[in-house]
Amino acid sequence: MSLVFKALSDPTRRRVLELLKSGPMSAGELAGHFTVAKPTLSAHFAVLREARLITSEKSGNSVIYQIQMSVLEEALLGFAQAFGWQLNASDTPTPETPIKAPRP
Amino acid sequence: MSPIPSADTAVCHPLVKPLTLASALVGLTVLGVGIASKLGVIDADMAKRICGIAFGVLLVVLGNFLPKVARPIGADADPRPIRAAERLAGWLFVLGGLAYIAAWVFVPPGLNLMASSVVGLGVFAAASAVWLTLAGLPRHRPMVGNPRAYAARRGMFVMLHAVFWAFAMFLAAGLWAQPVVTYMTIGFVAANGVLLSCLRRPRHPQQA
Repeated sequence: MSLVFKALSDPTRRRVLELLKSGPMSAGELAGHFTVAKPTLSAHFAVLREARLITSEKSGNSVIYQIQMSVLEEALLGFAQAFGWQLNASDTPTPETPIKAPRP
Repeated sequence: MSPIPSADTAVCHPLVKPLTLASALVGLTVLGVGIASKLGVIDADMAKRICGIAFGVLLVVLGNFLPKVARPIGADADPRPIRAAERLAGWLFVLGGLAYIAAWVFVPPGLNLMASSVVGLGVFAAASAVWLTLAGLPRHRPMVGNPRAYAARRGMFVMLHAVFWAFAMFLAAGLWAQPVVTYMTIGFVAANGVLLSCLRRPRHPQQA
């Protein structure tokens, strides 16, 4: 559950979840909605995947992401959006952050 | 996707544990309440109330996890409608389950059976209508993705179906005599068999 809170307490990651609510998207399509660098963005995806809020699937040479949130997690996302949860700067992922291998 | 299922498939789905725990707790509660009311520890009204609350809790848990057991990416040509249906049905079941619990807790004995049954069966009617409108009936496709996801999903629908029958049997037991419930139990077993065969695991193209 702490992984979920960590994943939800970043505006970029919340934006990713909001975008994915309308349907699965490829990493490239998602990147088009952000001005953040791609390695940073994929670190965000890794945090979301580790918290099991999204799943991913390789298709050709792109990765497709799909949302996978329970009702409770969706309600928490709503709260996080409304109150603007924010992390300490140290918790923000950087491409150097060791990332757990994606689940197959 | 590699055609050979990975060793990972032997591990159960992460949602199996919470769902098993929830249904085991409900089963034990109902059993315990049955024994307690036969022994005269609690009266019949209280027994009904506790069983009703237990099934309401199960509905909330199932509704909460319903959007979490999505079909794998690539299982549907257009996953959007089915995902929308899962999300809306999940919210309906959670809020409806809470309303069902509230009906058992706050409505005075004698009326609470009718009130909660109207709420409970209404939630299932609404969720079915939402599902059929948004997603329609599921189509069989060759299996893609992790088979664990399909197994967890099937378990979810079987349990929701069982909760629906539990609500219906509660109402029947309150309205008519006990034989009706016996026939309904037979009906439930038959309907469950049909459901299981409808939800059978789609075959892997390589195994055909």
